[in-house]
Amino acid sequence: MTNVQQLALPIEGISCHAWNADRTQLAISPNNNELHIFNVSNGQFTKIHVLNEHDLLISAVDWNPVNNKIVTCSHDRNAFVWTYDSSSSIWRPTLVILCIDRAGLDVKWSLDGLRFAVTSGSKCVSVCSYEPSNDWWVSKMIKKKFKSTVLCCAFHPKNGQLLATGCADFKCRVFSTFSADVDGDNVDAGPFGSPLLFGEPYTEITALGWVNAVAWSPSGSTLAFAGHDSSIHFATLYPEGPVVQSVRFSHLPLSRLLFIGEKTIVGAGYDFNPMVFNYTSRGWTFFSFIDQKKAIESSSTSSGVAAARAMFQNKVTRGQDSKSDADIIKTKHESAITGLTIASSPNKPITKIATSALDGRLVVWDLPTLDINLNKLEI
Amino acid sequence: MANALKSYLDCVNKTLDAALCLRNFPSQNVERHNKPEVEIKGGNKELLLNPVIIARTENERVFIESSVNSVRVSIKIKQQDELESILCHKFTRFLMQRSEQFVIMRRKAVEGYDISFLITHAHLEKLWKHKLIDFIIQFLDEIDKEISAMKIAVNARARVVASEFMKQFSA
Repeated sequence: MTNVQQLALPIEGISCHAWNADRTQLAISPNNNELHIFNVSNGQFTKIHVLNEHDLLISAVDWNPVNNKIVTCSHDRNAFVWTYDSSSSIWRPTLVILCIDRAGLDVKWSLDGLRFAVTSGSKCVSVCSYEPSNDWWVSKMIKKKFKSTVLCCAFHPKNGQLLATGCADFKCRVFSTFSADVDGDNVDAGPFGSPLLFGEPYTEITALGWVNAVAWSPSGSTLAFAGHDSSIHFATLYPEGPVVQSVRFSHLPLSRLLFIGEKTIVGAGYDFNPMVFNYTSRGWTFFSFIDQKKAIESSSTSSGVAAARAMFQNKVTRGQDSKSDADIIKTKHESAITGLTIASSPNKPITKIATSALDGRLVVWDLPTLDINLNKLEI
Repeated sequence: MANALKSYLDCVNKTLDAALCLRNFPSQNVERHNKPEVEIKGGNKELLLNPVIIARTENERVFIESSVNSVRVSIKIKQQDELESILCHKFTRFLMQRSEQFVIMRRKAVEGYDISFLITHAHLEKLWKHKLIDFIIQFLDEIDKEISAMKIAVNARARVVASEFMKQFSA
């Protein structure tokens, strides 16, 4: 069943969330400059740490499963890498020399934990790696091609040298993040054939709206990105150029994407309801919503006295003549969804996903028990 | 008649539903700033969406300008004669002077319109989106009735005052 937790006040909302490697801890930011860390056991969430280092809103958080470090980026142009000090049971921040002069919007670790990328409003992406001599993280900037704020980024799941970015200039681009200090001699260009230097774009794909989210499939063979024009595009990358399939749907735009299998993707956004798309022989299509809106059983007030009383009650409470269905929000979330992650332990088949929204709720969806026909999907 | 109004309000409802997909977007021009992009003159064009005008008649329209973190909704109210014009002007001035109470109201209407609302992502974080849209639709629905009611009241009062005045001249 779904587990709904109100982790922040509805007035605050949750701006981002991230799980640790075995899903026993959760980091969220309640739409302000604090980072809250919760302990999760048996569906109970207890707050154990509150980390206060940023000055302005924390816009994104990511927790690496390999080195157990948390990275946060904020609108105050800073990012911090937090390391857990088990001797004193606190999280210590490490300085990151980010060199951006506008806010940071999104941050992601590469899978091996050797580097992370911060996208920013200064039309660049900062890729940071650790420098042990001074115990800080130094950055190299990707400045080429961006004409506007970079909204989102994602590292290739198998290869920390490919970074996909989505920008407010309507384009999704894949850059090389190869760095001799971090990678040494292992140059890997993934599906692109010939490798390029740091910061060089491999490919560029245009959408008709701001690219709100970008995600790689688990094997890295498909790149998906969501545009603000209620579209989602799937690109298979080749050295000569990408082959793109665009799916347009009649709902509100998506702001987060998550692959739960090679052929299944979940998107969440302004509809307050995660949607599933899957790949069939006819290509990628919309499959279903995750939150099936059950018909609300309204108390039968069709007969005389009870109906009249209900009508006057409505006039008093809402100034309306009749109870309209449009007033009741039928989805678990009451506000735009801001975070979408895998909630079941990694290295196992994906059975749970978690969504956090601006209504302060974190909902963990247990996929097999929901009403959607999972047999049609190949997870 | 009633159907035309309903389809007009439905259209405004759906357009606002789509336009109000806002996100917290820090300024890319000034560091540490977070301002509504729709209000910035000469602002970044890629952050603005195409403005939409929904017109019921030539004199009754809604102008929706949307951007990445804010939406400006301007309304032109039907004013058929001078008296309605004056009443509309006074009424909207009354509302706009108290715009803090209304939270989403703009203190000055956009050129060519009678009243404007500025909705930012911060409002959407605190208020329910469907209720906000309901408020604007209800406003559009009732403003005409309000102005007609005021006009009738003015005429009735004028008649009463005039007949009282004339009584002193009759026998």
